[in-house]
Amino acid sequence: MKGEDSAPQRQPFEREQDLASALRVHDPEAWQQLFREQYQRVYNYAYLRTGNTADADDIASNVFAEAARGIERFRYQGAPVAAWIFRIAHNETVDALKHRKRTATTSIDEPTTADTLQARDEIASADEWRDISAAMGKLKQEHRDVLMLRLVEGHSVMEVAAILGKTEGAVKVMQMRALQSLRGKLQP
Amino acid sequence: MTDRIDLPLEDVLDRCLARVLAGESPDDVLRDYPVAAEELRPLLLRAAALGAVPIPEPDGVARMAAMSRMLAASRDAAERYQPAGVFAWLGSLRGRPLAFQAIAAAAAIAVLGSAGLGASAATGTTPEPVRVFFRLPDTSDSSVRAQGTVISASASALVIDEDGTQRTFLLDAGTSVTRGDVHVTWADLVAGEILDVRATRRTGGEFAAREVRAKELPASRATPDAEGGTSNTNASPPARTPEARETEHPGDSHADRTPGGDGEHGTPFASDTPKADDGHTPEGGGGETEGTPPQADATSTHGSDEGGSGPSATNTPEPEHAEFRTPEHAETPSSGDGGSSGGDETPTP
Repeated sequence: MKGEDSAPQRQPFEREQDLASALRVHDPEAWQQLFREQYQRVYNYAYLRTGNTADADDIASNVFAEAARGIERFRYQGAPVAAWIFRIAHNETVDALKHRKRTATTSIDEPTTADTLQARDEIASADEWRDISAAMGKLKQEHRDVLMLRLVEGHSVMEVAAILGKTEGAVKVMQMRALQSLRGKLQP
Repeated sequence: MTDRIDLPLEDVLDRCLARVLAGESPDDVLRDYPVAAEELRPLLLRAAALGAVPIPEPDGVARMAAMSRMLAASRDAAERYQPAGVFAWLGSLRGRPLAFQAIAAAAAIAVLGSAGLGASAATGTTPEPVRVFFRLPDTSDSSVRAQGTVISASASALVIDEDGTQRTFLLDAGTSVTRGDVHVTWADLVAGEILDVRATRRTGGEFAAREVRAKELPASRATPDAEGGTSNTNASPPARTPEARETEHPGDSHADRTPGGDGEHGTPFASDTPKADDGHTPEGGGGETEGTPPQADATSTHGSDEGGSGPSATNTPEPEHAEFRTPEHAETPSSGDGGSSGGDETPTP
């Protein structure tokens, strides 16, 4: 078949350690792979916390640029690269929200999950969303974080643990308690 | 039925969540966990609702811009931070056939070995090819030690022959020169005398002697004196270079002398104040000169083989250390006399 004899295509980095090593030497293909795999998730993370697509675009862009600039500081110690990326995303999101708070004419005390999910109400137009968003807004911060990361953004338990700096067992317990708490908030 | 009573409830929930997130309905999942179904059902229903949160797709243009920005940042960072050469090289092998990688790695080991691993034992420093290849920090700033016979000496430099290799050391007022327990001066050193030299490498690549110990006089030159001791004054002339002899005349200076002063080893003595930018350590060139006596010696030997050519007396205005020159400098064509004109003392412009 034509084209099969041309230069062999490089295989994607399947092992985290290989990916981390290639990122550290600024292998463009490694960076493109990381971008392909994580951009959407970083965008989702930012969007769910800011409720704004423009902010999410900016934050996601900043996250990957910052990662490229600071990869020398990253040391692979078993935690996935994605966890490091999401720590950057967390910092960028916090900065964005602080900036928004400073520049906003009206006070935005907690423009995170509840606001985001309420913003979705316009899209979903469902009473359930409104109830869930209200209940999520009443949860403890760590419970809200674990539900967002695990259920909304679809991270694995290991990734959530790395992002939050917890053990996997602690994350499992947290997500159960968070769901129990959410259930309690949703009950009349 | 796969209900596992012995599992903690949070583990059962996590297994169920994984399946719900993968697209199964809560009811389908809970059929496998009938014992915990009642407790887990409301949690899974909430989880399924959260997992169904619609998120708008990111803007395509913004996505492309973000990718370009990231790659540009990566390129900039790569320019600032160059990884150790060997690791970058190994990374470039990725994707090649395994056999190719193995052969390349074996070849690299062979090259490294032949490039001077053995020299580390002799010098006590990291071999230069290894240091450059691995981009190791230059830690060869520590003391060096050499033993050899005196070829020439002056107030500013001492040249010894160490196992057929000429080494040049800078001398200054702080250099301790002793013979036995007696402090002597450079002028007391005798050609052929065995010395033990301890020196420190300067940033310019020169070796500054801290301590020079004369071990013994050659038997043929050690003549018993009237008191039963030995003297080096009868049979053996002081190992003074032409430059050194010139310095005995007021108004003359080593810096005024051209390279190749003795015409033997083509090693002009540097001035007492080495210049960091005098060509000894050009950018990157320092890697070829710093702390690498074997390489440096090779260049000087080359110059010696050429009849002490090295930097030509007439072509090179500044007196330099031929031994520690970079190869380019060492191979500077001579003026055509094979360097034998080293004895000519051409004033520096």
